[in-house]
Amino acid sequence: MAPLRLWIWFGIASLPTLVALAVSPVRHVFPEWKTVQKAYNRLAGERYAMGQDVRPVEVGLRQTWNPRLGIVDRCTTCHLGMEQPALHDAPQPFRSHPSTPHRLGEIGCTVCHRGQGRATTTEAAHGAREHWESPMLPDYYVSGSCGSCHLGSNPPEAHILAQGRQIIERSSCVACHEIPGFARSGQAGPDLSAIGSKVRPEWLVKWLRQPFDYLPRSEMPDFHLSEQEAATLASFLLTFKDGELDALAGSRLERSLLDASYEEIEYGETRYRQLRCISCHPQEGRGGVLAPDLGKVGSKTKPIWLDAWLRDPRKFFSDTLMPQYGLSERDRRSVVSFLMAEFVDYDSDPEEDERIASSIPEPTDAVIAEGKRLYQSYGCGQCHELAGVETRGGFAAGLAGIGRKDIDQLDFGQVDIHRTLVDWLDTKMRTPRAYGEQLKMPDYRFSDEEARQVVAALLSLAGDSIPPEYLPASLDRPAFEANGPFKRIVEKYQCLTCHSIGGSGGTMAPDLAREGSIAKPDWIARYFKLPYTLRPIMTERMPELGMTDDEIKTAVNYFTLVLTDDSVPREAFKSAPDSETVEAGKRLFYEKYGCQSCHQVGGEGGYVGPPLDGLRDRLYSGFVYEWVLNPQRFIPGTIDPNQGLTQEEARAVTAFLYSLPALGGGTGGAD
Amino acid sequence: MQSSSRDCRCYLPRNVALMILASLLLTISCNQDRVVTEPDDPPDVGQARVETADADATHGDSERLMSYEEANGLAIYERYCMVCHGPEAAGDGFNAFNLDPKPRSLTDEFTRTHLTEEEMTRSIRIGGRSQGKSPLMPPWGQVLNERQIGYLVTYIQLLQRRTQAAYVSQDGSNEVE
Repeated sequence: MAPLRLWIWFGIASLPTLVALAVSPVRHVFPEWKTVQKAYNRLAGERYAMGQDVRPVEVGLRQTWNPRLGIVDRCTTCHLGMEQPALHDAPQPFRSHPSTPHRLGEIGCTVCHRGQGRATTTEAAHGAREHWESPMLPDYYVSGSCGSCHLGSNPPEAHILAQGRQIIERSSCVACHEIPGFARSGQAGPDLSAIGSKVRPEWLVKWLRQPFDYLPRSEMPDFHLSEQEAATLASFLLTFKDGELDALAGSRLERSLLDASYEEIEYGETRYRQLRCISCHPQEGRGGVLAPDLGKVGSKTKPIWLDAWLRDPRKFFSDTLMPQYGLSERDRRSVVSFLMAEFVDYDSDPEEDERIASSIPEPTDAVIAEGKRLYQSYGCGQCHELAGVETRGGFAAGLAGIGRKDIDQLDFGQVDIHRTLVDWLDTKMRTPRAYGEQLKMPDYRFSDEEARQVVAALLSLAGDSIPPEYLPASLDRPAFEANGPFKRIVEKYQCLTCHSIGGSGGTMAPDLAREGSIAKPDWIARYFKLPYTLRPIMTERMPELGMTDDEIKTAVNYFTLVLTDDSVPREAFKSAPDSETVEAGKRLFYEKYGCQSCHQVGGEGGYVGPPLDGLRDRLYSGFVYEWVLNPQRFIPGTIDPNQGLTQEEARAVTAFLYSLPALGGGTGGAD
Repeated sequence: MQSSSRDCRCYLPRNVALMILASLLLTISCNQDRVVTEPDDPPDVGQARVETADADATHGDSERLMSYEEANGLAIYERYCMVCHGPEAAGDGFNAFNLDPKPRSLTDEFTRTHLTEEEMTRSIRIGGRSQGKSPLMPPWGQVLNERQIGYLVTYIQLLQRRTQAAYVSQDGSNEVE
C-alpha cells in the first residue's frame, strides 16, 4: 500500500536526522574554551613555580553580567589573566588588561571593545559576522567608547577621543550636521556681506577652487568646484559691497596705503611685532592657531578694507575673535601698509591672475541666479552670513547614533572596502564624496591620523542609553556673563578668546576667575598698559591692546571687586617676617625643594615656570603661600609639583620669595 | 483515493530527499554560524593601517601600536618630564642646561641595566631624594597617582628598549663595515 511505503521512507529519512542530532552535542564536550582554560592552567602552574601569585582556575564558563548596562560578557572565559598584573607579558588570550580607572568585573568588556559578549568561540566573539552589527573595535578606536559615557569632558586617558572631538569642533562640523554634545555658537566663517569690497576678484576664484593653496591649514574645506562654478559663484559674491568703502576705491587714502614710504612700512612692522599679532596669526609655521596666516594677505585683501577692519572688526563680522585694538590712525595705517608691502604671494603669476579675473562673468541676472543656486546648494550659508540670502537648517544628516549605525543603512557605493562601520567612516573622512558623485560634503584634507581620530570621536556617538549611575558628572560651567561696562570691555578686546573666567572661554591664557585675589591692582593696571611675557618659553603673548585709562580702571575695579576668591587670604603674614625665616625659606627653596630647577631668581635657574624676581610687586603674599602649599588647587593640570610642604615651610618659602627685589631695581639679584 | 496514491508514488522519494536534506541543513546550521571574514584576514583595515602608520624604521620596538599604558605614559611624560629629561629621555630637555646637576639620561646603558622598576617608581614618587640625589628632581607622588606613575614607567621602559634596539642595530651595521 502506498501509505505504508510513505512511512518506510519517512522512517529512513528520520534516521540520519536523529543521528545528526544525537552527535551534534558531542561538539560541546570539547569546546574551544575548555582547551584554552587548560592551557591557562598550565601557564598558571609555570608562573606559580616561578613564584608569581597566579593560580589555576576551575574549568567552566565565566561571565560578567550587568543588567543595568545590559551586558552578558563571556570574554573572561578565555581571557583569564585580565586582572592578574603578573601576566602583563603573557601571550594572548591570557595577558592582563592595562590598568584603567574602571572596575573590569563590573562593566565587562563589550561596553568599550564591542564584539559579541555572549559568544563562546573566538570567531563569534571577535569577528565580523553576517547580520552582526557590532564587531570588535580595532584597538586604536577603543577610546571612542569612552565618549559614550564621558559626554561632557574627555577623560585624561582618552587622547584619541579628545583629539577627534577637537577636530570636529575646529572643523565646524556642527554648521551642517546636528551632533549631540556640540553646540553651534555663532558663525563659523566670516560674514560675506561686504566681500566685494574686501578681496581681489582673482583671489576669490582661486580661493573658492583651492582654499588649501592659499592657506595650508584652511578652515574652509575644498568643495571641489569646477573653474566655471567658482567663477560664477565669485561673480555673485562680488556683488555684495560696502558702499562707504567702495567710495574710497582709488582715493588718496588707498594710494597712500599702497605707496607708503619705507620709513612708514618699517614703523608698521615694528608696531605689528609689538601688537603681537603673531599670538593668533601664525607666520611661517610659528605662532598661534586661532586666526589665519597672514603671509599672503597683501595679495588677497584691499587696503581700504584692512584699514576699516582694524578700526572695528565687529562692524564686518559680529562673531569674530579679533580684538578691537585701540590704535592711533598712524599706527593702523602703517600696519596696513606693512601688510600690503611685505605679505605678498610671491608665487602668483600676474598673467594667470589676469586671465582668472577676466574669466569672472558679468553679474547678469542669470549669473546671479546661478551663483545664488550654487551658494545655497553647497550650503555656504551654513557657515557664512550673506545679507538677504536665506539659509535653511538641517542641511546635512544628523549624526546622533552614527557610532552604532547599522551596516545595512550605510551606502557603500562602488567602494571596495570591508563592510564595517569603522571602514565606512574612515573612507568618508578621507574622501567625503567616495560613495556617490551627487554628495556635497567638502574635503577637509584630514591626514590619516586626523581621519582616524575623527572616526574615534564619531564612534562615541552611539546613542546608548547609559544608566545614570554610570554617567560621569561634567565640570563644564555655564558661560561667563558680565553686565555693563566690563561686558563691553570683554567683548571689545575679546578677552575670552585666550583667557577663561570660571572655566568658560579660551585655554591659551590663565583663568581669571580669582585674579583679584592673586594679583595686585597696580600691577594689573601696569600690565594692561604694557604687557610683557611672564614666562620666557611661552610663544603666545598678551597683545598690547591700547586700552583707554577709563577702561583699565573699570577692568581693574571689576577684578578686585568681583573676580575674587574669599578663601585666599590677602596676606600670609601678620607682621613682616624676620630675616631668620627668610634665610630658612631660601635654604628650603634651593636645597630641599630645588625650586631653581624651573624658576629663575636673579637671572639663574630654569625656564619652565615664571621668574620670581619682584614677586612682591605682582602678587599677594596670601596667594603665593596657598600656591606653594598646593598649586593644583588653583590650576589642576599645572606642571608645578605639589611637593607636600608643611605650612611652616610654605610660610618660610613665601617670606623668601617676598624678599626678592625686582631685577634692575638697583639692589641687584637675590644672591 | 486512486489519484492520491498515484501522487504519493510519484513524489514521495523527492519529498523524503528534501526532508533529509532540510533536517541535515538545520542541524548543521544550528551548530555552525557562518563567518563572514576569513580567519587569516586582518580583523580590520583600520587596525592594519594603524600599525603600518606607526611603524618607525629607526626604532625596532615601535613597529607595533603603542599600548594603552604607553600612550598614557607618553602624554604624562610630555607634560611633566620632557622639559628636563628631553624627548627621548636622554637627559637633554630644553631646561636641562639650566640645571646643575644635569638631569639624568633615562636610557643610557647604566640606567637601563641598573635602575630597577621599583627604584624608578620611587624616584618619580618621592623625587631625587629617594636615591640620595639632587632635589632638582621634584616628587610627583602628590600630583600623579600610582596608576599614572605606572603608565610613566611603562613608557620610559619603551624608550629604553628603543634606545637599546637602536644601539644594537648600530652595532650590527658597524660589524658589517
